[in-house]
This record gives sequence, C-alpha cells and structure tokens, in this order.
Amino acid sequence: MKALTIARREVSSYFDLPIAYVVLPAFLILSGLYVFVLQPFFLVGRATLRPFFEFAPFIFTLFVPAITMRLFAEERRSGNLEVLLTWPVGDLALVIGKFLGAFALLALALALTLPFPLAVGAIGDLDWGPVIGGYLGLMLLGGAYLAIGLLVSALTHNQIIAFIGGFAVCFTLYVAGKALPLVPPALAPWLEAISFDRRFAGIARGVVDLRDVAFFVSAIAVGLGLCAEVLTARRWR
Amino acid sequence: MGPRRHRIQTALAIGLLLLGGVLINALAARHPLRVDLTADGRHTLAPITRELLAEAEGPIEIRAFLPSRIQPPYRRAARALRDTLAELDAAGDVRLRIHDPTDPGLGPDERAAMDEEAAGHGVEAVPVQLAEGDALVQRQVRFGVALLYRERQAVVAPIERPADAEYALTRALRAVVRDETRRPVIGVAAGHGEPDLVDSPVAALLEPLGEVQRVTLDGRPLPARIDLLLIVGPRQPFGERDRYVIDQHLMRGRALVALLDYRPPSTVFSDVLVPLETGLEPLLSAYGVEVDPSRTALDRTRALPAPIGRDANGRVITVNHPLFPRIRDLDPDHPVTRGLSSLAAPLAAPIAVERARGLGLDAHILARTGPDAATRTGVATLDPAKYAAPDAEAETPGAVPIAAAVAGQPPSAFRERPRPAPPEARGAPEPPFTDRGRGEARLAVITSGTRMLAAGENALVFLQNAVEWALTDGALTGLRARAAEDPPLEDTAAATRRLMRYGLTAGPTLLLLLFGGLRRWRRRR
Repeated sequence: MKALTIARREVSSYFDLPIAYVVLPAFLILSGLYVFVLQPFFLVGRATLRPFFEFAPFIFTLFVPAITMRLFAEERRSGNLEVLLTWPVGDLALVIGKFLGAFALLALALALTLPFPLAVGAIGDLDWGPVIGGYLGLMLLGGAYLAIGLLVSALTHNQIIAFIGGFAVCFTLYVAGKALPLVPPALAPWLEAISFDRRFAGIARGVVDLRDVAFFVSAIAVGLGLCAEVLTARRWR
Repeated sequence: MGPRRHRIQTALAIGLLLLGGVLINALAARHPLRVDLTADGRHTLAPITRELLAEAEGPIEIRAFLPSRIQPPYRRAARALRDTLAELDAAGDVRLRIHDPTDPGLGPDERAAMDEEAAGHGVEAVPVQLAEGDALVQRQVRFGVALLYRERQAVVAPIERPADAEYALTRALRAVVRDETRRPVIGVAAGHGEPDLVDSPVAALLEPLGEVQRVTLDGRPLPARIDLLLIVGPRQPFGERDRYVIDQHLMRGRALVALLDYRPPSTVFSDVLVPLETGLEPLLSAYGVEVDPSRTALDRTRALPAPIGRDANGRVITVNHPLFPRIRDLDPDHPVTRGLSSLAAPLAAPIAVERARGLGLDAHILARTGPDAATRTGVATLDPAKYAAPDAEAETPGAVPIAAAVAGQPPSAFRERPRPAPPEARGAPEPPFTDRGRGEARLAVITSGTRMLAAGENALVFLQNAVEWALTDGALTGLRARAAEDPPLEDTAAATRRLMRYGLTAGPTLLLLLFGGLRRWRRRR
C-alpha cells in the first residue's frame, strides 16, 4: 500500500514537472518518425510493426534513464532523501513505489503508441500475436532498464551522472548481443546470456519464452533489490 | 547494529539477491516453455526439425553469414533465416554465431577474416549494392549458413523466398545429423523434343534437391544412379522401348515426375493447337492413372490472362482465357500441394486415379478446377472467341482433376505383355526384368507442362515440391509452403499514406499535450 502511495505521488510529479511533456513526446515523435517516415514502410508494404519493435529498445536506452535520473539523485541533491528515509516506509517499499511510478509513465508511453498497430491493422491483415509479444517485451525490457536506472540514480546525487550512467549500462546491455561475432567463442555464450536485445528480439517476434521472461523479471528484482540495499547502506554512513 | 555487522548483512543480502536471480533463470532453463503467439504458428519449428535436433548427440555449430544491408529478394529471406536460426538455437543444442558481412562497424581486417571464414565453409557470395559515403557501390558479400556437426558440414545456399528458410535449414540439418551425404540424382529426360531444362533457371531451382543431369531416352536402360526421372513437355511420343525403360525404373522403387503437354502450339500458326499424345498414357494407365488427351479443361469463371498474339506494334495481347484456368482446389494435405494457394494449368487434360487405388496404391488427386469448369473435346485453336459460350455437344461440365500423385509398389506394365528388346550392343547390359516394384515407387503427373511453368503462379514451387516428395520421405516438402512473411498492406491512396505518416508521428504527442493542458486548466480552476 505504501509503495502504491509513493507510486501515485511519483506519477503526479511527472505531470507537475515538464518531464512527462518533454520525454514522452520525444519518444513518441522519434518512434513515429522512424517507423513511418524514415523507414520505407509503405514501400516494403508489409503489415508489421517490426521496425517499431526494433527501434524501441534502442530509444529506451535514452528514454528510461531520462525518467529515472531524478528519482533518487535529485532527492539526494536536494536533501529530500534523508527526509524520505525517516518516513515509516521500508527501503524496498520506497524503491518499489518509485519503480511503479516510473513504470506507469513507461506504460503510458507505450499506450500512446497503440495507434500504430491500430492504423496498420486498418490497412492490412496485421498478425496481433507479434504485436502483443512486442508490447509485452517492451514492458519487460523497459522494466529492467528502469531497475538499472533507479540503481544508478541511487548511487549518485548528480542527475546528469545518473542519466549518463544509466544510459551507459542500458546501452551496453543492449549492444552486447550485437557484438557476439566479434568476441572470442568462449565469451559468446556469456555475452548472449546477458544480452537484452537478444532476449527481447524473440518476444518481439511473437515467441514468448519462459527463459526470456524469467531473465527480465530477475533483472528487475535484482536491480530493485540492489537499489534498496544502496539506500539501506546510506542509513549507516 | 554496528557498521561492520551491517556491511556483512549488506553483502549477504546482495549475494542472496544475485543467487535468487541465478536460481530463477536456472529454473526457467530447466523447465523451458515457449509460446508462439503468431496466428499461423510461423515461428513454431516443424516436427521433423525438432526430431532432427533431438537426434543430434552433441552440439551443432552454426555459422550464419546474413547481411542486413541487402537488397530484395534476399533481404526478407535473410530475416527469415535469422528468425528460424533463433528458433533452432532455442530448441536444441546449437552453438549459433550470426555474422553480418555488411555491418558498417566492421574494419577491413575483421571483414577480411569474416570473408575468409565464410569462404572456408563454402558460403557463396552474392552481389549487393551498399551505400558508401554518398555513393552506391556494388559489392560481393557472403550470404549463407554453414552447419557443422561432428566431421560433417552442410551449407545453406542463398535463398530468395522467406518461406524457404526452415526448409533449407532443416534440409542441411538432416544432411549433417543423418549423414545423408549422397545427393540424389534427378535425370531430366531428353530426346523427345523436350525443352532443355538442364541449362535453364529451373535446373538451378532443382539443384538444392539433387544433382540435375540430362538423360537421353534412346532405348538403353536408365542408369542406376538416377533416382528421379523428370519429363517436361515432350513433343514426340515415347515408344514401347522407352515405356519399358521407364517402367523398370519405377519397378526399382524410383520416381517419375511428369509435366505433360497435350495441346502444344503449332510452330507455324501461333494460335493453332496441335493435339498430342505423349506415349506415356498406356504406361500410366497400367498403374491406374488415366489421362484423357482428347479433352481439355476449360473454366470461364476462373480464367487467367493468356498471351494470344501480338498487335501491330509487336506488343503481346493477353486476355482472360478459359483454357488457362486458375486452380484453387489443391489438396491441402498432400506434401506436393500443401500450402499452395493457386496454380495455373493452361490447356490441361483430365486425369483420374480411381483404378490406381484399386491396385492398392496410395493415389491422390492433387489439383482440380473449380466446379463451374468443364472438359471440352476438339480444342484446336487458342482463339478465345471459340470458347466464349458453352458448347453443349463438346463440353462436359464439372470440376476437372488435372494432377495426381501415386505412391506404392505398382505392377509392371509389361508383366503380361511382350518385353521390347534392347537396342543392339549398346551401353550397359540389360538388367533382369522386374514385374513388381522392389521398393516404393513415386509418380507425380500434371497434365499441363511447359505452359504451366511459363505461367508462373506457384508452378515452380509445385515442381520443386513434386520433385522433393518423389525423392524423399516428403517430411520436408510441406515446410516450403509455410508462411514466413507478414501479410501485405492493402493499396492505399497517397493522401491516406501521408495522413498515417504524419498523423501517427504527431498525433499521440498532441493527445498527450491536450491531456496536460486539460490537467493544468482543471488545477487552476
């Protein structure tokens, strides 16, 4: 319950500040531009949203740290974190509350892209399986990025550093799969195992594999757990 | 609690967290569950593919060289291969490495090393246009997949149709897992006025299925290495000795695929059709496959465009011609026609297989015209005006079967007939006569030949499927017909496309800003 209260407060703060009106439009406009203007969507002439699901993981590496950068870093800079930590709320509940708030914003961003499949479905026999898979995959991938972004934000008091750090980690995990042919064969399975892009690609094709879902869920759990531990450690400094 | 104790507690908590993460993943790996959400199960591997993966004892190394910046027709095929490889990777003990030879991030040394590795595996190069700086340049890049298992290797050559992806990979998988190193031999019949397919693009399509060789039917026994005899559009009838040779080929448990023309055009007058009997009819009849060359299928409701002549400027004139029916009634369960949506069958003759079933053979009608069709006698001209109105005397209404497939051990057509003597002192000695099949013979016949191949409309896929089915156990044949592509968009007006482009780019943002404005207004009030 306490986590939900914090989540509600976070969602409200996104819309009180310009952040939702800057980050969400940037995501929406870039996605629309990429899929329908920069890509030869009508020339290829296929009823598919693959270009969107290929582009979204990359743009998430920028979009998600932009949401999470202020969550703890700003609280630390302004001294609010110390006040927050005195509340009768556990560290984990605080972290989960912040995560849920950010996740709600992410879900809203994705919901605002629903006109994409609806429009494509109106002019072609769109297979909704990969679309459902793609959105599910983006929620999981975005959730994992959020957990990483939160952790990085909890480690610093500077929003810019939180953004750059979050982007660096998310981008590294995103490109890990693309570097597979360039690494020694012994390293390849490890790199493949942690590659967000590889895990997401399967789901976005409409194939939901329990291993991929478990990977993202555990990434979220570990990220949030570590974040809570970072906050707990602050109490003892 | 002191700081030291707290540090230990934190370390323990982090350790437990990481352990929990590893455990969740390990549990999921032990109980794999994979759900294909696509409407047609496009990403679900076929049973034969899974069977082959399960048969492998040890890892299968896969080196894929799939360029991403590649032009049609390879672009979509490369993506389909990538998708299917991901499924193989998830389903079996596969060590997959996918290289992109067109990756702009590759340095010259890395590119050279990749090229050398691909060449070492026997992966072919295809021409690609790449944007380098401000110019488009032509490059040869490697495109293919090498499968390595134990000491064996098989290479998937560049494919053009996305639907061929699983077929091609499964075929290569079977070659390495089951050690099917011997390539079957497809003998293309020559000597009776057939078109030369061996030097045509058709042969290139058949090459992945087996080695394509020209076989002259001149009375000598067919070489034992020939697994399948392919007869396409003979213009001179086969004689008794030819029939005997083909009969004995089938008695050895081999295969015959025949695409026969019964109304070829006259070489002198373009719209005159010459009635023809190929001489194979008595042989087919002995196996219970009856072709009536005197009748021609005609369909006024499902007619395809056909070339009927040239205008004063030399341009080809086409009309929807009743003698060029579009066949939509294709056996969905047979490997030859499974997944095919339509087939053009110009000037086809009716075929029947009831007697073959009576002989205990597994006989199927593969394709038949629509119910509004008819057969017509005395078809001697291509002039469409002659067929515009029904002719009650010459036409028999009803659906017309035009293709059949028969498998089993048929009796020899020469069991109760005198056997023709071999040509004198030529070639290999005559093998002893066999009066009953010594293995399962396979026979696929369609009564529309060269015109069908020229008409397109899945004709080449039909031919490939027929050859594949006749050569193998047919388990792979159906794979080729599986959908591997997203459905096409409907034709839309330029204004609609513009509206979609800019509406979808700016629309959601406007919606969000509207929401923000409303929220602000409500708060102020």
